Amino acid sequence: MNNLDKNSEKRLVLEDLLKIKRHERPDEAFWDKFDQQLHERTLKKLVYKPSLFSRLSHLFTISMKPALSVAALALFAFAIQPSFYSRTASVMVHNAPSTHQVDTLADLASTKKNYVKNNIVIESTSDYHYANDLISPISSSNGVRYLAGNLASVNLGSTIIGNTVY
Amino acid sequence: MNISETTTFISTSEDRQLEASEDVLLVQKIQAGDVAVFDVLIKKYRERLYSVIYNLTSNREDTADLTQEAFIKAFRSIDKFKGKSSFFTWIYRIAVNTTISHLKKNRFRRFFSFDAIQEEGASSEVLDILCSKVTSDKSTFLKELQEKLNEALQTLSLSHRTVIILHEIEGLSHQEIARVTDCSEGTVRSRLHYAKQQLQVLLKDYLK
Repeated sequence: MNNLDKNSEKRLVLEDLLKIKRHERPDEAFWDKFDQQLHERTLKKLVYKPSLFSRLSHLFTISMKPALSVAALALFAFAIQPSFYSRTASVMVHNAPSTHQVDTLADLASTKKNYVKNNIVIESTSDYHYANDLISPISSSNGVRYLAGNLASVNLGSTIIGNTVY
Repeated sequence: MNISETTTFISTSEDRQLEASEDVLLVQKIQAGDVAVFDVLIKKYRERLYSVIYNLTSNREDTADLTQEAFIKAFRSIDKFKGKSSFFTWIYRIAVNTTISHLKKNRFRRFFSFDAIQEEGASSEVLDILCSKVTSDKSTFLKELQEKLNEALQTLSLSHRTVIILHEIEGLSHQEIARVTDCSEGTVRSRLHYAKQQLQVLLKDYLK
């Protein structure tokens, strides 16, 4: 009796069919991309995204005389709808924590309070450790730059959108 | 001969008890600030979480996204993990809840996209038996079988689908499933029984 005949005699049950699903899986190359995307997403979750309102108010504050800037802000706030206050898609990295700030962040993180400092949002102890681990100063001929995870080496005030540093 | 009797689950409950004690040490390191250790947990569980989510959604693009989301949620709340349950059940619970929320939110926007069946491995014997009974070529048959299996699973309710995937595909015990899905072992058994009855009907052509 050949193998084909032997196979024909065997009875399959539902459990056998479902086990085939264990073998539906992506190839090895998929996991490299997966890991990279996961690191990028984790970093993005850490970084503060300023609202359009706060960015425009900052612009008014520094570019106009105080009285004019207050009037302009009042007009602006009156004119726009609440939806404009929503967070924008761009991710700002203005600064990275100094050693002293990192210590402060550690204290605040342990109390689980939201802390926005230097545009990095710290919501948990994990966030603090992640920020401390990934955003670290490195020396270069152009001055101090900051290494933000595996995204790129970025200057202070850079804007990161996706993988691109502006 | 029943093929199920000769095959084993991906890992047994004893294996997972050993894993659980290793995981406790890893989590303690992460909570103490060594966040790089989380990569070890990602590497350890990414295939398993992916598999659970993939079988719940039958959509590989959503699966990649949801698996990453589950890991991010786990990472950001790891300081809340006190070790009352194993890390394994804790992260499975995050993955299942994340996926169920996504599926409920997008119940009218559903489409399938499949990963290829990797033919090597334990189920090759099952595949050989199935293929020996059909006249069409193997790849066409496998594609059809894959579609039928996924369609059948997707006709089950979310609670029944979750239980049968965790038990029959992922190899979790009734007790482990009860912990992951936050219900009693009796409920798990009842859901499993009902889900199997439904699938028997839907897949009867392959079980002759």
